[in-house]
Amino acid sequence: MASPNSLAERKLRRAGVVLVSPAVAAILLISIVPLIVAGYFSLTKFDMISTPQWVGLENYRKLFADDAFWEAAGNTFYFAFGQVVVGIVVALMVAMLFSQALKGGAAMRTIVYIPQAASYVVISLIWTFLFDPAIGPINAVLNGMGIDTIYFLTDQNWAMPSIMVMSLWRNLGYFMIILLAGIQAIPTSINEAAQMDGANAFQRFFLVTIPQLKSPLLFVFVTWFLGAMQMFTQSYVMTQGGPINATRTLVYRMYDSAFTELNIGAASGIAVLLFLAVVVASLFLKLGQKLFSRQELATR
Amino acid sequence: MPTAEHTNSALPSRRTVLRAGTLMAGFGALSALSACGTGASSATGGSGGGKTLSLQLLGADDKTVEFLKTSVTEQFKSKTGFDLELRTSDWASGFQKMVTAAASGSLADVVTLGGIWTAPLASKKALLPLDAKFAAWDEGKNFNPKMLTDARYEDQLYAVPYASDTRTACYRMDHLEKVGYTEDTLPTTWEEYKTMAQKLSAKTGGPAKNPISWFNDKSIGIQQSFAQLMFQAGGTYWDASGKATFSSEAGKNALDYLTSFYKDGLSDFNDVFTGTGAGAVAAGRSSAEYSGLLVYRNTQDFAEKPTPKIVAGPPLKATAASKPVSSAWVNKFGVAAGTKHQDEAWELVKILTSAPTMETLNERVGALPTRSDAVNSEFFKSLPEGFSKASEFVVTQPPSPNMLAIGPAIKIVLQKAILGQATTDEALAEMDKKVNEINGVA
Repeated sequence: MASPNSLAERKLRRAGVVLVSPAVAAILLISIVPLIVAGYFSLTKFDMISTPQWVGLENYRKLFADDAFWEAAGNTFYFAFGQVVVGIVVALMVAMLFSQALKGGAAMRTIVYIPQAASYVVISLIWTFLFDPAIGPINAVLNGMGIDTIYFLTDQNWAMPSIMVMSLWRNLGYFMIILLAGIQAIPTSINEAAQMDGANAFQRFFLVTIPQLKSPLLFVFVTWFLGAMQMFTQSYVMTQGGPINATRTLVYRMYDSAFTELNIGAASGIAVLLFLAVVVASLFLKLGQKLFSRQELATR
Repeated sequence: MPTAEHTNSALPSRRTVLRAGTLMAGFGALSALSACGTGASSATGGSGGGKTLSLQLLGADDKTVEFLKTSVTEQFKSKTGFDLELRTSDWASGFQKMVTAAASGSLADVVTLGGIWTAPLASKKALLPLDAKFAAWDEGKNFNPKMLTDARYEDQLYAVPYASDTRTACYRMDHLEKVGYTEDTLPTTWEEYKTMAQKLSAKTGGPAKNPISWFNDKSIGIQQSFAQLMFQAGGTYWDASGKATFSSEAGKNALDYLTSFYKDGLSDFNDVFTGTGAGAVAAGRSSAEYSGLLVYRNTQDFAEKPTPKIVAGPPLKATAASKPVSSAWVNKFGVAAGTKHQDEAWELVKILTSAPTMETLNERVGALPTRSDAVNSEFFKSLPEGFSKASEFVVTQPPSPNMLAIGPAIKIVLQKAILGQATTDEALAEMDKKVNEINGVA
């Protein structure tokens, strides 16, 4: 075997560097450089056309003093937690259903997955029609049942939950498939052993299936949550952030700052804060994952 | 396990790696160069090698693009020898694209400008002042001077208007006739308008569930209606020092008047126009709307047959003693400050805003002309004449670099007032505060 400093080893290392350098360059160019640039712009007064002027932490001070920013932050967390918590329960139920040997199961899985293939803009337009108080079929059905019209997108209390339902419907298929794969990876012998020990269906679900699904569940929670934190399109197309500010999220606020107010400094400040929030949330979840893993090792 | 020799022979030599890197860099540079070439070529397939001028169009449909590719391109080529490159985009992302293009120095030579875009772009020095060229143009006198104000910023002209969305009170005559109104007895004051609304209400036996629509859309329609009411009441956005003046008597009257329709059940906050399908008037839920040609065209396209007649009424006055006011959202063509072909760009603006071109463009986008002699098309002659009359009383929005941010901010406060989450005084004070913050006024 060649020594660490041999010519062959050095060449091998150099070749490795050359081979990974395009990917590293791409990551630097696409992720790291914009992040640094955003960090810099967040400390300036900049309208995209004039030269940026250094203002230090002024943009952050204004953001923290701005009620609309906190309202947007609240809306963002409400949307992300609401959609993900309810979504995981629904996705798990559907995945459990599809894990059974159902007639036409493959076709049903495809149907549940299809919305994932459509863009948010298209889906948002379709659901705007579905939610319409005058011509929408949902209200037509409700009215037919004697229930008063629900103003899904113009009532402050209904607007965000309505967008959550639509987003959940759109994302369900993707996360259901991941959970289904997790369920199918559980050795049948474990369930059979539990059954022989007298565990009923509920006990098997909560004491066998769920613990075995910890990793996929955590993955689904993290990826779904982080995606939901960046919600913009649905709100832009369906409600334009309204009524009042009920569906205005942090990314929407960022868009407004950048392209309506031409305040790139504030927009960059929101981007940096959102990035930090996502990093902190990810670290907490990673910590949770480690604790789970340790617990698992300890119980073995 | 492979031996050192084995590993060595399988590895690319330093020379090979360098050669491969050079080749890749070469391909990259070539791709970049070819991309530059694509960007400069004419979308109209103009003769290769000739000079090209670019035009940024917003919201143009296929027929408009076809018209510009043929008629306008030919005229332009014969006058200047230049080909025309058309860049198209939608209105929704138009301003965003315009700003990013200006920032990157890739703004088209001639650009379409929306209602309140002149000041934001002119203040950033992205547009070329056109005063001297416009003054020397013998057709300049044909333009409606009130609509030219929307093309000005700090006493300089930056664009030439080609399409006006003139807003006034529009009526669905089949509804109005049911409660005894004719085209000769339409309201002229706020009080008369409110009385008419009460008669039209289903609650009093009238034909409409929510008689009055205030152009409540997902965007800033309701703010535009409020602005018109405020102008009718003699109000302004701010005083000479730049300090917001919504908490004035005029602002209070306008907001009280607007919210009273919602409190009295004559308008419905939840009846929002989504941009597709029948609006409130076309669907028959409302009988009147502060609107423009949109309500007329929407009714033509989506109302049940026979199509109800839509009439553009006289601009309203707050009281019998005050002045009637309509408002207009004016689209324009401007020239990018960074263009290398100022004369040719101005030539294109002249062609685009000439009477025959304007007539065609107005028909395509559903708008009114901005010059007095562009009134010969069949389309224009078919329109309710009240729209043209209303154009004589137009007041445009104040030319502020921050108008794009001010509209949505006011809209949010208006919604609070309509929903009863803020009193009139609280809402107006909040408007003043927000607008002063946006304008940087202490």
